[in-house]
Amino acid sequence: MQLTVTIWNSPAELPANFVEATTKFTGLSFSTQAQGGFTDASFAVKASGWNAVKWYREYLGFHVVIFDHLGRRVYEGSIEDAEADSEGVTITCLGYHAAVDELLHGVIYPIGTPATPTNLIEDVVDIASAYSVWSPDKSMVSKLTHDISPQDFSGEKKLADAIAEATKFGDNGLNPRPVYLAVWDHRRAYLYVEPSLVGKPTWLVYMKDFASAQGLGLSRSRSTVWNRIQVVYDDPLIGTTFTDFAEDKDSQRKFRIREGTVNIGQSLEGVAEVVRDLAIKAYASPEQTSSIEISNRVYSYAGAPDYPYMIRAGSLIKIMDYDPSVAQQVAGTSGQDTSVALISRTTYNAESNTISIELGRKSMSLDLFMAKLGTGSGSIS
Amino acid sequence: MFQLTIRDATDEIDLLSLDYELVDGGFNVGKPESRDVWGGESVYVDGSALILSALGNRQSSIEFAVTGETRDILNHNVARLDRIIQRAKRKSIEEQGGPVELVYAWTDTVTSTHFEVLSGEIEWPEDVMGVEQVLQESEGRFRIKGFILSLTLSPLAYPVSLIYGDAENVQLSNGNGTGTSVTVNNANDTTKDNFVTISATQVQGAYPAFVTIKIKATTNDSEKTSKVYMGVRKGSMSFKSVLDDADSSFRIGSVGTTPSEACSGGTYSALTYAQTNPGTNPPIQEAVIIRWSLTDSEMESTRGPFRMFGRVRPTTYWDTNCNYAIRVSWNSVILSQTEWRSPLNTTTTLFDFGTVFLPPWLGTMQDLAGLDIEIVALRKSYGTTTIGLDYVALLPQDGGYRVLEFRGSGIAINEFLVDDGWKNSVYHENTSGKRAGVPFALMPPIRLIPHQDQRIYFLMEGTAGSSEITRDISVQVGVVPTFMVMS
Repeated sequence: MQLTVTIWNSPAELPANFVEATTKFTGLSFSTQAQGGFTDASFAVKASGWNAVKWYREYLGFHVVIFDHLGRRVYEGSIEDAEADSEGVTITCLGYHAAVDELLHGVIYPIGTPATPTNLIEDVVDIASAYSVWSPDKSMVSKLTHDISPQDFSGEKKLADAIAEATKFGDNGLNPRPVYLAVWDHRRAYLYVEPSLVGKPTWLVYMKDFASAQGLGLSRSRSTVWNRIQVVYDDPLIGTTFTDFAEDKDSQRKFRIREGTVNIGQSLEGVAEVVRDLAIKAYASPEQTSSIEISNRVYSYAGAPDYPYMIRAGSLIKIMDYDPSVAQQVAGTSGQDTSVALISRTTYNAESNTISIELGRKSMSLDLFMAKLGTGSGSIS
Repeated sequence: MFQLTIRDATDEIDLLSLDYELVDGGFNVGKPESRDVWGGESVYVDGSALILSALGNRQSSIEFAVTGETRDILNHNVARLDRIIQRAKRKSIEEQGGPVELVYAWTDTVTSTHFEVLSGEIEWPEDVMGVEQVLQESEGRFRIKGFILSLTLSPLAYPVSLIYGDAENVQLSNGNGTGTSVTVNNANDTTKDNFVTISATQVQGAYPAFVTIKIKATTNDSEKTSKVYMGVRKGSMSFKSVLDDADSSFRIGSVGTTPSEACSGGTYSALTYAQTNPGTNPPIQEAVIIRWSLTDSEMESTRGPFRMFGRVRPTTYWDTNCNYAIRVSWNSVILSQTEWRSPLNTTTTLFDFGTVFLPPWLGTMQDLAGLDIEIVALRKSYGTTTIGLDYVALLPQDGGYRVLEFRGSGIAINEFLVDDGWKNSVYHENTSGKRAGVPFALMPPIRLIPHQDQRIYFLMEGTAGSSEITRDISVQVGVVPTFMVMS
């Protein structure tokens, strides 16, 4: 296994744009995120003399691709920072998703003209590709058809603002799932709905492949449990109103009663009751944060071993021998122990061949529904 | 006669000569550090797994005396050593100039052992200015004892001089003949071979050998050869190296094959995939456009990672309005699928689907069942995609993978493209023998495993992306074996 860092003076990767390829680096690491795609990478080049000057002065902004020994693209971005010292030059790269904070959007979607999240994202792709930052290919932008007009991204609004609006309601389903925008290989934008945990996982891992005793990190706290919930809202006719409580008896048996109130501001009774029913599902079990660190092989869905750097955020990972008694409880409820999880972030360290994986935390349904209502964040106390 | 020499193209220092006297037992070469990466140090299981292993540099020390007919000559001899060590360091740091090597040979042996000197340091005797040292004179020579030369050497030993030696061309064979230079075609069918076989006896040594591949254009193609994909097979040689359109078990629309002399196997298949909008804008559906069903025995021998390339018939191209993937399935159960890829330009003849692992599970399993390999297409918008598919090549990657590409232009007839893994350079050589660093290489240089049958497979493209089956090259493969101690 060997990773090669290649430098091109243009993202087009035409042969004439090729600058150099090197395996003489140290401290290589790179990351991916479900929201973003390829994010940051860094490595140091032990160079001196004209070679160091070249890395420090000439390569800023150049296109970087990291290939593995099989020619697979494991990272793509451009050089953002170069720091030279007596040890050599340290290079930091950013993925092309970073352009969302650098480019203005400028489009207005007026009242009476339907605009879907897909419309917004396709315009984002058009704008980013007009500056040759992203590929113009929009074929990986999922079709989300709900109308979110009017929208105004004129003035100082950037691409990130349009993306936030396009994704804040998730896929707009009855039990909405989060939506992410990622920029992957060849700077192609992917607008995708978070895959269902009951689907096929992309990767399988075994506890034997964890990096160490600390290879699996789980944390859950009773303080995040609310199993008797009411909603307070501001009724236009009555004023401040409380709904009846919704309860989860099973949770109360396990964690004792914890009563909470969700304040959603101005709303109607029917809406408040829907929020309450979603909230009891969201908070009945402890919120769990999970991370795993793998230093050995990972396995494809069918079982082919592969190197851990191939794992990308946005895919599903299944821990094959983790608490199988609860492995069936994966039907989307929040906070449950599950053996399948969405990967929200990965960081690969080449020197130790170790990948750190942050897993998705909880069901986003309540947050997405609250966003759709334009109410508060769904916080509870 | 024993030999212990440090040399480069400028100077040669014999440490067993009148000027330099090796102390008895004063030459030591240490073992290279083994740099292993262990994975899976979990407390949940016993043991851990070796993931990566590489060798660090090795250290050597040489204790000797320096002599001279005069004290000036003695000083000059010390300076010669200093200078050669400095040149070794400059070569390491600047990657310019020629190498410095340490040569060691036993008496009555044919071969000598060569290490590259990467760095070094001369340690002077503590009492070098002492009266005893300064006044030492015997047999008409002044002498200072107790010098120690510490060297950092390459991890492995070579039987070939880094300065004067070249990789030795090995015997190659394929359907076109046998010799140190054989013709390689840009197709693989009953009349053409796109590989060279290197038999186990051709590669000596103990560790992976350095390889120099010299490619000569032998056909006068309208587009010069500007890109060469190379993959090495070290597993079974009877693997399924090409999926010809005529051998498929399913073609979309049950279309037949079309005869064409410009296609491998003599046919291509016009595969048409249409997605029409009935007016309600339904989602575009992917479709399997062609399928090959590998038999049990074909799967048994077709193991490992393979880079898959699909070729379309000449003057047609892969449709850029469509995404494509390779899918592996068993009885309609999808086992793996490459990510959706799309041609990056409108003149792609040879489409790179990416790497596929076959079988898509642990490679240690025996008695494999047959699997299906399919091309799946997904249009980007409503419309019709037609592909004149000739074949899908399985370029093996289990023994290595390398891509050579020109920054511009390519090799015309009788010109060379050289991938010199021994001297660590890639260059174009014209018919006058003049070299230019126009090409570049991606992925690590190919290394061959000693005492194992291996094949190197080739696929070529022209400057505008054409990949005619009439495009021939001749190939030479030079090898430098590597050893741990003596070569």
